[in-house]
Amino acid sequence: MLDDHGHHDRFADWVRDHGSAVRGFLLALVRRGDVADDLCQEVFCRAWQARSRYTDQGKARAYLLQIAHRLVVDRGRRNEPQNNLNDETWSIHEPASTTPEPSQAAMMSEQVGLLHAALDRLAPMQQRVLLLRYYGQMDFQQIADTLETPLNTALSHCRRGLETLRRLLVENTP
Amino acid sequence: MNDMNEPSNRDLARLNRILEQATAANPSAVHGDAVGGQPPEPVETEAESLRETWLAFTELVRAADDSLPALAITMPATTLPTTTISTATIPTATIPTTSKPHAHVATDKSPRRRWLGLIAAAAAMLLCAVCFGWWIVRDLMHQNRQGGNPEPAVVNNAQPEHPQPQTVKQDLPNPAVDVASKPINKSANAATATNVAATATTTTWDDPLETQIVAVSHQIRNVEQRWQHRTDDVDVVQYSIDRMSDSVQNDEL
Repeated sequence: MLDDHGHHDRFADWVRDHGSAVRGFLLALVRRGDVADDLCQEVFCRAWQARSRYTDQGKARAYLLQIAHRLVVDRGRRNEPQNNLNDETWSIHEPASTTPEPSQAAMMSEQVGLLHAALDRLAPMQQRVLLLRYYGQMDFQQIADTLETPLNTALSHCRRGLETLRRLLVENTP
Repeated sequence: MNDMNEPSNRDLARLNRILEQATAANPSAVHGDAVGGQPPEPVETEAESLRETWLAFTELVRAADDSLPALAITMPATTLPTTTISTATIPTATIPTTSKPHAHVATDKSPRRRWLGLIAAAAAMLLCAVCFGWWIVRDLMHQNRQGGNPEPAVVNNAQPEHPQPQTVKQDLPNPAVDVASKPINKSANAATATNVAATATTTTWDDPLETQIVAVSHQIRNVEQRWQHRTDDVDVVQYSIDRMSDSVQNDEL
């Protein structure tokens, strides 16, 4: 059982070791730097609030990414009416995806644009399986549990996602 | 059933193994490690193809992450009280907030107090109305009791209003004889009436019954005498008129 000082040290380690991964995961899903930063802050706030219930099993990153995934899902549910809008209206509600602000434009480099273009070819579940596999270094059973899907479904999403990316990244065929 | 599930489970396990190898972070996992001096198992073609795609994807993600600015995470505010403020200082810091519960309780009980005030005001008004009504009833009862007593003044006023001429006429003497023989003693009658009235008015509620009966009888006699006195005056005039009429008829004038 950690005291307050131990919790503080562990929290600092989490920010240092997993902060970038959590933000990268969030940015790849929400595609907006400001939203990703806010959600990243919220992830660590919730992790801090639940610090007394956390049992360290060496899977801190997976734990943080699970919180991040829930936040993204909640945000998607809150913005669900916007998802039903057409592309023109969508660009108004999500201007950062097409016309980023100056601060975001500086942050959004060419590599980020390429990544987002690649992820746009994937289904949402395929994106999440690949991102959780990369950032969280989870096995597929953990990914399936995080996404609340069967294992074969998670495996199928990963396989089809990789096949889609192969046509884009390796074979350069749209 | 188990035979049908067995191949699917084998396929699932095979796919899981292929994807684990293709997306492993450690490259040695893809090519397999030498276990017990045995050569590593050959990597399947599909796994190798997926591995190539995965590496391209991870390079893209890593390049995107490297282009991002440094991450700035603000420590949650909840860390401040637990780390920098001891629990002993908390009561002194929260003393001003003790006024809030008082205000809150007051606002909770204010409707009840308002109702109690209204009920008290209504009860006071009802009590005042009852007292006023009792005072009025008591006054009316007192007036009724006074009106029911055979007061001498009431007797004096009532009886002359309803005279009985026949009875009075029977008591009247002959006008011709009375006027001629005995003159009317008005002063004596008046004095008698005054005395009787004075006697009657001097009686009080606690006088003996005999005294009150005597007073009432005096009052009755007084009234009769006063009525007789009045009729005497009328009879004198009538007698004079009759005499004048007889004189005219007899041509004495």
